Amino acid sequence: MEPILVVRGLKTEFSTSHGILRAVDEVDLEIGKGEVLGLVGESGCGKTVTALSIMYLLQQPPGRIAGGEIWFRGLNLLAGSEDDIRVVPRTNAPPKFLPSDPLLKKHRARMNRVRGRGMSMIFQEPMSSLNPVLRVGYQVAEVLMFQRRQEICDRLLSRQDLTDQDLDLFRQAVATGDASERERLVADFCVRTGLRPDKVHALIDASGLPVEERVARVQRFAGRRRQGVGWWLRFLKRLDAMEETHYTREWERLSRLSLGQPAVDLFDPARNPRAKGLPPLATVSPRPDALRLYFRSAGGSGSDRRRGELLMPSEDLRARVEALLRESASGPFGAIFAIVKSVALEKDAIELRFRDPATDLFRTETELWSRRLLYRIVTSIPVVRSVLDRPIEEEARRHVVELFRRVRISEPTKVYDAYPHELSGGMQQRVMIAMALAGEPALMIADEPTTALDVTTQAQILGLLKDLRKRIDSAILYITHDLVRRENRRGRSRGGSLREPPSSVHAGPSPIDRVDGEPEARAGSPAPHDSGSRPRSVDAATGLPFPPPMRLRLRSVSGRGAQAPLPRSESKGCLPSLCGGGGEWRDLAGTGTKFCWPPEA
Amino acid sequence: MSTVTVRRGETAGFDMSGWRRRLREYWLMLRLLMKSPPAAAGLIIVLGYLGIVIYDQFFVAHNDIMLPNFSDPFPKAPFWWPGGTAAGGWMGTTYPGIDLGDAVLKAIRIDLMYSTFVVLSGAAVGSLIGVFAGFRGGFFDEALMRVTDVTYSIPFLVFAIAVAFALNKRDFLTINFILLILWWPPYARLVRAQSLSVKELKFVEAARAAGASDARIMIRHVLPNTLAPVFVQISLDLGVVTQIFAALEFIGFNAGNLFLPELGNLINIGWTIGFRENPWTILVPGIALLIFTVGVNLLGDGLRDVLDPRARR
Repeated sequence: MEPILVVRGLKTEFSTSHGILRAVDEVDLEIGKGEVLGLVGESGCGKTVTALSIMYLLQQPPGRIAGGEIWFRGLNLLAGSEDDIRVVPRTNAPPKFLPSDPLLKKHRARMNRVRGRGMSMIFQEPMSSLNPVLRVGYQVAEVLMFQRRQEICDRLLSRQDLTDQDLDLFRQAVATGDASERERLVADFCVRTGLRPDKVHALIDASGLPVEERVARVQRFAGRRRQGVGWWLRFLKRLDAMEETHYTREWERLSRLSLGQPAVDLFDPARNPRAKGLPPLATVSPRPDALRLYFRSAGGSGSDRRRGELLMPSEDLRARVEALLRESASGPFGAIFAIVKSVALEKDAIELRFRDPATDLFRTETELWSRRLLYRIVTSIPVVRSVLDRPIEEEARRHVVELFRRVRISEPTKVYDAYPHELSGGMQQRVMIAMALAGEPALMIADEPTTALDVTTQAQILGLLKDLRKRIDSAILYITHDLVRRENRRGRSRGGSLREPPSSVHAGPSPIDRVDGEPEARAGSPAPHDSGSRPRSVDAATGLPFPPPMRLRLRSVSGRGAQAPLPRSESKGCLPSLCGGGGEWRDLAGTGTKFCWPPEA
Repeated sequence: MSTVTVRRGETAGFDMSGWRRRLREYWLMLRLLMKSPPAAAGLIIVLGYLGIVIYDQFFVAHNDIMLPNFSDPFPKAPFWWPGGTAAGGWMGTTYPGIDLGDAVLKAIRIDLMYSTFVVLSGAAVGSLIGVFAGFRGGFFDEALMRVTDVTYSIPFLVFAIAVAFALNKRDFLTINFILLILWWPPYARLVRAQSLSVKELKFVEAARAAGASDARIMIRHVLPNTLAPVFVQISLDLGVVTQIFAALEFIGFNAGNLFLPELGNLINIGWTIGFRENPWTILVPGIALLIFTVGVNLLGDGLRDVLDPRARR
């Protein structure tokens, strides 16, 4: 399966008064699309630091990513960041971390493009992870409003026209005599059209009018709304299209950082004689499914650069390109190479059409940018923002209510308007999960999401994640110290087979619980671990899921030294809510450590 | 995401419009404020003064000048004063024949409007500087805070006299101009101190994980969390700035308009024509100033509790 996140040799250190503490040492992991990977270890062994390093949320300094590679969708997120923080040796004191602010800023900006829609994170303590002065619904809606603004605009615009189905719903609502049935139909109608329920009710109750007249009025009403809101929405959408172009350009810049040479050279006539007449290819849309390729016109420079779309005239060509984009192991740039090799240079097969995104409302890109800047400044004033952004916020609100339903919050409309302190811990964690889902990320990192919760709520949240796994495409990196449970989740990764050790966090316990020195703990280990080498990737057939140091930690968790921890119930299998009750306990590779194993798929 | 299910008896999430939700929030705040008698008293005083401002603005002619009466210039005691006559009216008159009731009403409008202007702009500038310094840290923090310290250390009365001398303009607008320059540092310090602690909280990291940029986090997440003490400070400062206006007018910053309706100006007139003989000429504007200052202080204390969403409902 195509890996979405590949971590190789990740090293993270902290500067302390006693010297440099290496919290994460040579972690390798790999997550495929839609997979769940469990990362297990005791407190303080570096699980959270690994996650924070992947998200680039680590506090730097005192933290420092000392080395390694993090490949996410074909982009090395750590490229160029070796010099972010230099280690300065000192004579009578431990070495000092000297940050380089411009570099850190650059790489933080790069990561900001990946977070949210690329990867998001659920934190340990839901109580402190929500802003106490904002309503929880707004906090989720805000993520939607800046991460998926165009989609929200589109959805809102598509609601503006009443379809025949909508009108049928309205007719049914008029015809029915049952009050609650009518209520339901009106609510449905309002969700589809974005009209206010009280207005619709008023129209339905206008019993003096014939039915068709009421239908005509609701149509007129929706039409007025379209005229009022539509222009403004299209303006906002245009601004956002601009931002997406900016996003694309940013991506282009980033890719140059990580891949060395961008794909642009392939279309450069100087390098590729077959590309004569074709303008140089600049970059691909960050969302491969959009199938929009941006080009730079041959003569243009600076802000005059025009961007175009690659249109696929024939259906099968389109399918080929889409397949290439989908299957590419190295992200959009790999896909570009592949397209260039197989498709793009069949010149006649491809129509290149240039469209200046600024032609509709604005003459130049500069004008568009100035409008966008003005809009940004104006909307930073709270009252003005709530007026200007109101149509979008109402739409985002509907979206958030749907999200809340999906994470099984029972009264989503009420929870939307609640402040965090009014919700229980489990509810807050659901909101956090909704927030992480809002950007529809490719990878979700759940960092001990159940630690602060009681057992019942834990089971609910786990059940929720399990359920969500079936319905969304996101891969999940699940971090926990609660061994038996989480192994189930790891074992349930797609395909049913164990592909990779769940984690290779090794040799990095904090000084307090340094366990690798205990000889008896190492006794059962088949291959003694030497700290210099990378952990071995173990074949699924031999069934050894952990590199040795990881197993050491497992034993110390049990609190019985070298003895194997006994599972709670050997005969009945594991918790039914986690793997359907059909699992069995297995002794892994003769280590004496037992894990709950899900039934074979 | 495409299918929408609506359950029976449940509306689709927009049953209350945004404005109505907001109004409900204000209503809850008001209810909480009214629970504490001092705060309620403060609110009533401030609302009363606001009422006076609105009345003056829309229903009083010549509301930026005190109308003198040179045909009968000498001060008269109010009718309830020992030895007062009906000719003195409710509040008495001061030199030259100015009706104090009328003048104090006009003065309240001018004082309140301009002090609000000074305080709000100072708070806006100071909050932005403070949140930027606290959130960015490093060099910006150091530079901005040293500028703040220097500005804070300028004694504004002395500075005002110096600037007025340099500009050769000893009027009310000069006072406003000087206060505009000098009024932001306390806010910058307040907001910076708050944002230093707020930016370490977990929800900032959560917002980062959702892909929010630094500017967004600063404006939408950190700033709102620092604003409660700022609002309190604003309400307290309204009284302070009004007092400063009065103090500067008292020492003679009325060169532009000798009949400017301003409480300090009225006190100055009363002082000049003789406090012992005509005590009401100082007492009436002085008590108006006192009540306002007490009112905003009480309200400020009440706001401290109300602005925390955890205390509401």
